[in-house]
Parts: sequence; structure tokens; C-alpha cells
Amino acid sequence: MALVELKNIRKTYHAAEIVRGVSLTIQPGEFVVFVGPSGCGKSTLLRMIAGLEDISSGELLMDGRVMNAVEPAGRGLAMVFQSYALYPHMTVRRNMEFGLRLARMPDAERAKRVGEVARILKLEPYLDCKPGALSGGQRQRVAIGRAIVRHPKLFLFDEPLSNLDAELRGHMRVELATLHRRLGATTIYVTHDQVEAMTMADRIVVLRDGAIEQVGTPLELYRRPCNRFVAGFIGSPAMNFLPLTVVPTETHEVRVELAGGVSLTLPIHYQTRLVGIPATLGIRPEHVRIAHGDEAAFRGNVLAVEHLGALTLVHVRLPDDRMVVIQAEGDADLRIGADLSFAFPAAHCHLFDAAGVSCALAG
Amino acid sequence: MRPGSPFPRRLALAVALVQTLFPLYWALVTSFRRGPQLFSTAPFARPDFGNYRQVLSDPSWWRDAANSLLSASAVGVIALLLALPAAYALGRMSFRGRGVILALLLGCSMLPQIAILSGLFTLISRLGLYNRLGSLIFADLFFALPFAIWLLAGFFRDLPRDLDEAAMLDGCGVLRRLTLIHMPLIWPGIVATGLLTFMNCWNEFLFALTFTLSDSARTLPVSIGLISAPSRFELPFGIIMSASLLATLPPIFLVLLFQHRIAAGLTAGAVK
Ligand SMILES: Nc1ncnc2c1ncn2[C@@H]1O[C@H](COP(=O)(O)OP(=O)(O)OP(=O)(O)O)[C@@H](O)[C@H]1O
Ligand SMILES: [Mg+2]
Repeated sequence: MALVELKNIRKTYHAAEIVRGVSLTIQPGEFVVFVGPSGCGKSTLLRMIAGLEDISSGELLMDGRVMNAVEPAGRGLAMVFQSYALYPHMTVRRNMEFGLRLARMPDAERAKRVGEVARILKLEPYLDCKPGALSGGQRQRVAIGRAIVRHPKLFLFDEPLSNLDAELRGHMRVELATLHRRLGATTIYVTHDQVEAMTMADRIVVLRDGAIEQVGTPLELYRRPCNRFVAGFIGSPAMNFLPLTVVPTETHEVRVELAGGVSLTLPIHYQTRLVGIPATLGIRPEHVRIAHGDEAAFRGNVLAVEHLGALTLVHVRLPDDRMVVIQAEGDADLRIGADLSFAFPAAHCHLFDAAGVSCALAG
Repeated sequence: MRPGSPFPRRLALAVALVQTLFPLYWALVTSFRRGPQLFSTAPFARPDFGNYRQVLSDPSWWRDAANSLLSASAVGVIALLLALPAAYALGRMSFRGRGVILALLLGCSMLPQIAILSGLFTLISRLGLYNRLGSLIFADLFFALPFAIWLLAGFFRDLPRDLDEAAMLDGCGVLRRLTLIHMPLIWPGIVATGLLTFMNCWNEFLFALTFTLSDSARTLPVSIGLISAPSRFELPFGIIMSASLLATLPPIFLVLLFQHRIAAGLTAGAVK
């Protein structure tokens, strides 16, 4: 278990700044997930922690020791690559014990460790196979096994599941989470799959363009995204965004007007600075309520219906041509082309100002 | 997906086979003939190993073969030893001028031999290598080395980068990465490069003719070229052909020996 501290870490490649001042403290034993769109610098950041990439400026500390100049092998960490990077000419056993051999660990202890890891990962039948003879999921387990036999203080994963099919991915997700609970090592996990992030993380770090947007537990990010980017990135299906204008009121709550003359009162502290600026309303599909009568403030035309079994996703077009996705329970009986009325419960609405910053923390 | 329907493909294959094998076949037929029979155009001949017996019973043939074997193996081994680190640097590391060096190497191995012949001749005389096997090894390396570096650099370059990094995390330095990870993986490429180098030198004629004078340092291609009959009005085709065919055997044997090594796609399963 290691305490990892990043202090204003930066990375520049030929004058382009890829990682722009990341500061973060990761507690011993914590499972931290880096998410962000492709190219935002997640892998670069992870590789700097691993020592595979030089840190242009800033400090990396592990258990209080500055690690910037320490060799990758000396940092006490193990990494699992997206491509697995198994040594194809070595058997599974050799792959797993390669690092231990180089570290001159006595034979007996080495065999014990490999045996133990093979048992945990159910790799015993394959110990004498070459990686080429294994399936994708088995190779992935070998890659993980190679990482855990070394008893690292810190685990790094770079999109380890992205080459697996959906079913195996779900299975490995649970396996990794179980493994983490069992080993208790500090873990940094990179992914751009927000489901992985939500289900596995103690804390999620959302990155964009090489900088941290928000850090928090999965539910914090889900409930209180600090800006429009995080709001759109966390949660699936993605949050709906609609333009609005804030109208002046006497009350202490914000009153907003949307296209089509719909107005809502949000439980958000009123600020005069918001009046008149182009702001945005955000609401998650699962919070939009199909409603009838007085309660239904919005009307739209059903454009598409996706039945997922337990859930139904309804794509609705508003009169001003904007799209809203609604998630309904069960297999709601909706016809394409029909009119649908619905409501936005005020407690679940998010308000973002012109710069996309969340104005207050709804529900 | 295989291109083309079976029939045109087989036809093309047959044409290619005949085109490459017919000269060999004709050499075989000729090697069974002696005297006036040599002028026969019949495409068959009764196997008669008289010519072979004559070639093999000549001690100078064996000496020439040994010279060929020695020089070609030496060039193959030296070229590989020198090319491996160079190719590793060119294929695995990025530095300024890498592309230029690779292009120069390719250019060097494409130079016509005759272009550097006179320069090499001076160099070899100064070094005191003239009429020694060393001159051949030295001269052949001029072409073998750039060629080997260029080929091997390609093999090194195609290895996945993640493998290096995994090895670095496992605690491998450059040298151990080269010997424990990369070399086993490009082993087929190393073998193929060594074989190609060996064969090029085994067949090399111009340098061997220019830089050796006496029998002691003569190699097979030159010795075959110099085979003559007692009378200067006949050319002993039968003997020349049997000697040539015998000279093709060692390379063929080597290829067969290493065939499975070359064919094995060892990188399968490294990634994904
Ligand atoms: N060696 C390099 N030289 C120059 N630019 C690089 C290098 N490595 C990465 N980059 C750039 O850094 C940026 C971030 O790359 P990085 O691989 O960290 O993204 P990522 O967040 O991991 O994306 P993905 O989700 O696609 O893996 C990219 O724009 C990439 O072009
Ligand atoms: Mg990446």
C-alpha cells in the first residue's frame, strides 16, 4: 500500500502541453479511476507515475519519497497494459515469474508465489502454455497475475478490459474489484468507460485536455457534477442539456424560462449575476418523468424508442427541434410519432452558467 | 481469401515453377553426360555419376568448398554480431538522423559491386589481405552488413512497444531486454538474415575472382568458373554442371535445417 502524491505534474511533448498541472493525493489502499475522453492524457499521466515517461515538471511522491528520477522497476509498482504485453516466447509461468527471477528471488518462494496467484486467478491449468494458446480473457488474467506476483505497493491499469467482449468485461470487472479488496494495494485504473469508473472506483478523477475537471466518489460526481463536461461525461445515457434564460424574481430561488415559454423554479440560490446570461439546464434521462395534465410542462414528439428490457429509452423531439432522452421504467408502450408529455422534477435539475460551471448543487 | 480461381492460379504456379526449375533440371541432365553426349538435346539422360565422382575425388574441390564455407560463415556470423546492436538502435530508439542512416544503409547495399571494386582493391592491398580469405570476408561485409542491419532493424521496429515497457517494469535493462525479450522474438528474422547473408557470400563471384589469385584462397564459384578441359577446344559442361549442383547443396541443407525456425510466427499472442 502506498500513499501517492502528484504535485503539479506537467508533461510537454515538443512544446505541446499534454498534461497541465495535475495535483492529486491518493490514499493508501484507495482505488482511483482516471476517466476522460480519448487523448486527454490519461495514459500519459499513468505512464509518468510508472516511470515510463519523464515528468516535465512537478513532483511525484510515493510514501513521502520523491520518485521523479527513480527507475520504473524501483518504484514498487506493477502495471497492466491494454495490449497485455505478455512475453509471447515464455510460458504463462515464466511470464509471471520473470520479474521475480530478475530480482533473484529464491526458487522456493518464487514457486510459492506463482502457485498462489495462479490459484487466485484460476490459471493453474495453463501454467505451461504459451500466451498464444490462451483466450483473450485468460491472457488478461495472466497479465494481471504477472502484476500481482510481485506484491506491488501500487497497481496501475491502463484500460485493461477494453479488448474483451462485453460479457467478459463485466465478469473481469467484478473479479478485479474482488481482487482489490483482497490485496488492498493502492490502485490507479485508467478507462474511458464510465460504467467501469462508476462501478469500481473509490474515487473518480475526471480529466479533460490534460487537467483535472473534478475528483470525487462516483455518487458525488453523479449527483453534483461541478461543470457541464463532468455532468455529460458521468452517467449513461448522458445528461440532457437545454438552453434557458434566468428571469429576475423577488424570491430567493432561481426562476428560469426555456424555449416554448416553459418556466421552472429551481431550488437553487438566486444570484443576480445569472440574469440574462445564456445558461443551460441539465437533467438526466432517468430523472425526466412522463406525466399528464397540469404537471406536464413539456410536450414533444417521439422520434425513437429503444427497448432495453427493464428500461426503455425514448428519444423525444421538442417543438424547437431540440432532443431530449427520457428513460422510462419497464417496456413503456410508446409509439413512434406520438406526442408525449413529461416533466422535469425541479430537485433533479442542474443549472450551468455561460462558462459551463454548475451554479449550485441540485438534488 | 485467396486471390483468383484455382485454375488460373495453378497455371501461374506451373509457369513459375517451370521457369525456375527448368534450368536446374537441364543442369542435372547435363551433369549426367560426358563427351559427345553433351551436345544431345534430348531432355532425358541415364543417371551416370561419373562426373560427380570426378569432382568429388579432386582434393582441390574440397579445399575450395572449405574456403567457401569458411568465408561465408564468417561473414554471416560477423555481420549478425555487428548488425544486431546497430539494428536495435535503429529500430527501437528514436534519435536525430535515424532516417538518414537507414536510407544510407539501404543505398549502400544497393551499390553495384563494381563501383567499389577499385577502391576496395587498394584498401585490401594496403591491409595486406590480398590473396587471402580475409580479403573476401572484408569485402563481402561491405554489402552484407548494411543489408543485415537494414533487415534486422525492420524486425526490431515491428515489435510492440508495450513489451519493452513491461520488461522495464520487470527490471530489465537495455541489454537484458535485447537478449531475453527481443532476440528470442525476432529469432526467425535473425536466422533468415544470417542465411541470406551466408548465401550471398556463398555465391559471390566478382570479389572472389578479383581478390584471390592462388588456389589456397579460392572459393567455389571461382573454381567452377575456372574448370577447364585438357584440350582448349572443349568445355567440360558435364563436370561444371555437377560441380555447380553440388555447390547448391549446402545452402539448401541449411535452409531445410532452419526452415521451421523461419516459418514459426513467434510474436503471435504478444498483444491483444
Ligand atoms: N510520445 C508522444 N509524442 C507526442 N505526443 C504524444 C506522445 N504520447 C502521447 N502524445 C499525445 O498526448 C495526448 C494524450 O495521449 P494519451 O495517450 O495520454 O491519451 P489517453 O487519454 O490515454 O487517450 P486514450 O483514451 O485514447 O488512450 C495525445 O494527444 C497524444 O497525441
Ligand atoms: Mg490511453
